Amino acid sequence: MKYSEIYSVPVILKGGSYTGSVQFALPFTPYLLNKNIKGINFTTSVNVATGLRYYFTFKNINNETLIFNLPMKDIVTASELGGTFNYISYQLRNFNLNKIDLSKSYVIYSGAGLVVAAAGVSIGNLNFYLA
Amino acid sequence: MNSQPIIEKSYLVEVNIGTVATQKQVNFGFIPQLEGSTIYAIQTFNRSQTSLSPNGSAVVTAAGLADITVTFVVGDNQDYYLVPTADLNSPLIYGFIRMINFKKLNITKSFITLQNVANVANNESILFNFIYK
Repeated sequence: MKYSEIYSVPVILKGGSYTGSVQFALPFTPYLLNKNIKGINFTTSVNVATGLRYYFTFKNINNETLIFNLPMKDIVTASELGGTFNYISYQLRNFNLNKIDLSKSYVIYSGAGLVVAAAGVSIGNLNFYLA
Repeated sequence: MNSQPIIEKSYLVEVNIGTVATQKQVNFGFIPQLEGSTIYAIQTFNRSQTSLSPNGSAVVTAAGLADITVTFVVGDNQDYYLVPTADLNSPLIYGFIRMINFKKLNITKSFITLQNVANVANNESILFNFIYK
């Protein structure tokens, strides 16, 4: 499949001390609202242990859930710092998503708590491959 | 050539195995989002991909997947009978996602079976990702 554009969005966890599982908003990205997303991957420097606990949910502008709790590691296609990931043999997952509204979408961290530096921490970038 | 699904919607479903016992069956719960939906690909995940389920349960290991089969029901028929869950796990099949022939699965009648308990522990969860439209 050929793509005309790749648009990268940083995923930044808001600073704070959290207990239990926690949900973080994704940034409002108007550029994607009228785009057709054909592929998604995630580039990250998150270490192995914590990286295994993130799940993405993508919603469209109508607040309809299109992708629910997609494990982060299913869209990591390349090696990362602190460990190599080759779970999906570098394949780029194919999607057909329209009118995705990242401000309605979110990422969750499953676990017994998380401390994020006050300034916020980037866990990596979502890369959207556009038609 | 292996074609791969173009994902329009996906939904992650957790099945907690409870107290383990050989030949134990655990049914899927009711998932309103998947009612009447056409499912065309299915994945499982292992603990090397995701250590804790969204509900906070430990996820079965790759070895644990080898202990578990899944039976998917279409209508009242067990069209996918005792499928090894390891065969639905992308890291074990070169990153691929298994595709099926556009079925409206009867999720609540579908179930997993613990064929062996050597590599699973109480209250672990197995995660299924249903790709549907």
